[in-house]
Amino acid sequence: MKQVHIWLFCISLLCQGMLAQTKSTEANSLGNLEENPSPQILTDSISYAKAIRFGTDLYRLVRSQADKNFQGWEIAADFRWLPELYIAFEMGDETHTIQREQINFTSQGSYLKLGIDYNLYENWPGMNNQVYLGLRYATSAHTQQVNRYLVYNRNHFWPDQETDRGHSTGLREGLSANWVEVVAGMKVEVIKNVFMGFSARLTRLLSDQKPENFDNLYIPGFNRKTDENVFGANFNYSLTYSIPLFNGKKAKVPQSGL
Amino acid sequence: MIIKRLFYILTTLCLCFPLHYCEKDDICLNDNLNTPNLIIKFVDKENPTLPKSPNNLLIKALNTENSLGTSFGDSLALPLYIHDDFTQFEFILNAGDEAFENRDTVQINYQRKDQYLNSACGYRSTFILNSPPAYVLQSGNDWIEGFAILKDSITDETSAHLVILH
Repeated sequence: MKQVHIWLFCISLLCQGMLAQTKSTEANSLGNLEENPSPQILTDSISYAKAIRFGTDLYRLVRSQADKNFQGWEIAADFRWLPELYIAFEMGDETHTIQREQINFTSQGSYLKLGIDYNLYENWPGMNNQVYLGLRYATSAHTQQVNRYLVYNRNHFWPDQETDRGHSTGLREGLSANWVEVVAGMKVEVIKNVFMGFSARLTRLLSDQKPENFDNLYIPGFNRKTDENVFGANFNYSLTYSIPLFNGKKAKVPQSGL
Repeated sequence: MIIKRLFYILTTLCLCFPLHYCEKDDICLNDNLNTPNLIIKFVDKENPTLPKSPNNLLIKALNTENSLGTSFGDSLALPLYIHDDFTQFEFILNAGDEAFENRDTVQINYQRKDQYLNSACGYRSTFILNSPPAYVLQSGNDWIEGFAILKDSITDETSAHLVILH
């Protein structure tokens, strides 16, 4: 039922975007006839309009449907603070069951990422796309549960048999991790106010609270953690909807009128 | 120009993903830490400081087809069964010689404790011997006279953990 609602949300976002597009083209053509403002002012005001964008990560949604060992979602938002600078925010929750060589475990928890995106793409008038680099500070609150494991033993006198209760299985609660991310990505306006985006993130773990007699082999939001180093990587495919906070056209009208 | 560079950066990042998933910690390369065997030393019952090899000893574990073979010196390594807190072995003295064959069934009692190693190797087991560490089941005409603990925590195989007097 929850998943049906998520899909409905995505579809309604798309529909709203299409409606907004048809309305705005009508408004534009009327405006051109009556007021005939200079096109330069119009495009400037649109490209500098402050806007807040809300959206969701499509990869985690699709993977939740396809992979029975993964349940997760992520919402993303950004606010255009300066013409090329955005304050960006992501929040999500993941439950991931992973089978490694000897251990089967479930990592569960939520995460929060906050930072900035800097747009490097020079848009043509009327375009509103982004190719950006960004930074994030992220934190997670998670649990690790060891479901079952095969004891490492080079001597195979006794048949190998998994331990699925007692001993070192069980839940480790109250864990956390902090990391920074360097983000490279793009966002394209596919229909008016609706953006599709991709971002790849290289991460560096700052600190993590280790579970008792186990390790954070996977951290929600961070992705897989290796034994060898503190670096990792993750990515998202976002679908976001932009809500203009200040109408750029209206803001410029008094100036052109004077 | 910047766009072109960014495109290269993004492409490189995408290519990095498969590499990221094939790391050293997928393969267990651990030579030092293993689930340890129980090291047993045979000593003379008259003079416990003197090592004494049992004659033609054959050891069979109960509940398995596997055999540990014959002809040990004065010490041997026994693999403990990790899914129970005891393991039973048949110690057969003078094996093959029907007239003098002497079977003692020994139960070894311990507690298991698992230690996390790393992501590829997972866990290994270590043990703590109970007291008494071992006894002979169905006693009567036993060639084993007694047991003594040398080291009750079994975490490595560098020295003997248990002594058998005979």
